[in-house]
Amino acid sequence: MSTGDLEARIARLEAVAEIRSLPARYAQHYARCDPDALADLYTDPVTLRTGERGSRKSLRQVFAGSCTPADGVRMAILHVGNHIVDFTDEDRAVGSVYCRAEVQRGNGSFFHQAIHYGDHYRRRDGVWRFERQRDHELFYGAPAGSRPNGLPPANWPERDVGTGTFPGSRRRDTSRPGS
Amino acid sequence: MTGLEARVRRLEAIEEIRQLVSRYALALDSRDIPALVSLFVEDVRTHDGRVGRQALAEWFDPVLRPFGTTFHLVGNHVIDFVDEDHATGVVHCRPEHEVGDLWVVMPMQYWDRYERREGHWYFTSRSPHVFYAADVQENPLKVPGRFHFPGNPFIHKADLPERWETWQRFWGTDTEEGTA
Repeated sequence: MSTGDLEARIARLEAVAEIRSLPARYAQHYARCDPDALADLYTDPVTLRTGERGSRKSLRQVFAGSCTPADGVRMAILHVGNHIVDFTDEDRAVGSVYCRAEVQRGNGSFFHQAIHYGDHYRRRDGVWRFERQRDHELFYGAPAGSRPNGLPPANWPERDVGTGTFPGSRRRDTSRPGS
Repeated sequence: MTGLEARVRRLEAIEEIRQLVSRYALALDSRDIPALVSLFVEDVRTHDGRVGRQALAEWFDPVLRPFGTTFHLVGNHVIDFVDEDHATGVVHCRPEHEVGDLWVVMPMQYWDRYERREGHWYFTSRSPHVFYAADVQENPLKVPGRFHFPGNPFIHKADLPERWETWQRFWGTDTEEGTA
């Protein structure tokens, strides 16, 4: 076993450790309503959910817009669990993340959601970041204390609560373009 | 193998075992049975006494049909190595299940065994142990046997924490005290 091989294996382990921290950092910065820190987790430029390339700055505005309006997020408890990481090459990887969220909005609504994130990670200048706006799909959303059964589709982000689209019947393709 | 290589191998093993658990949850929630059984060793033994991934796929199919949407959130994962190619694990999972008009939550643990074959880690077995199963609007403590999961074809009771010997000793409910 050559030193080079060993070094490559250690570099891979370090990459996984750094990538694993990204969803946790995302959850932390989101809960703290810190749009600057959130945006900094992304590459610049970044691929938006629409498929277009946007600036990190424009993504920052999206994050700022989730906390500030009257019905914006007040309290977000994002419990991140399952995380699958698959490398496509030395500088790119894709991820699948489960999250159980309990969220309070400024208008008084309080709901919980079971979320699946589909992530694309990229290393640039030695730092791993999200390369695309995270795919965010609901298994479901439901008002606190309620059952999700029989709710109409949430069609997130149109509504916070309702039946979701994950896993659904869609093709599980890691090269799926945005939206 | 040098000391450094052994340490790297151990870290890689931990990472691969951790991801086995997440991959299992995703495959199960997606009802992707080929992906699910590929996470097990080739000669896996099924709960009904058969051997092999095909047999496991046949075992899983009816077990996964009585529910609609399911969400298997995993968390704490304790991994202990027996030797370089064998390990055991205890994983916390908080699954939710759409069961007709009910939404059944079933906090549980998996007691796992893992084995490395040809450089990759697989499950050799997973054994579920449940704290409770209850509809989200029920108080789990008021549910008989702390287990209300209509039509579950595989799991029929809650056995944690009472199953732990340490728990029994602490609360004085072990056999020396005369309880069943």
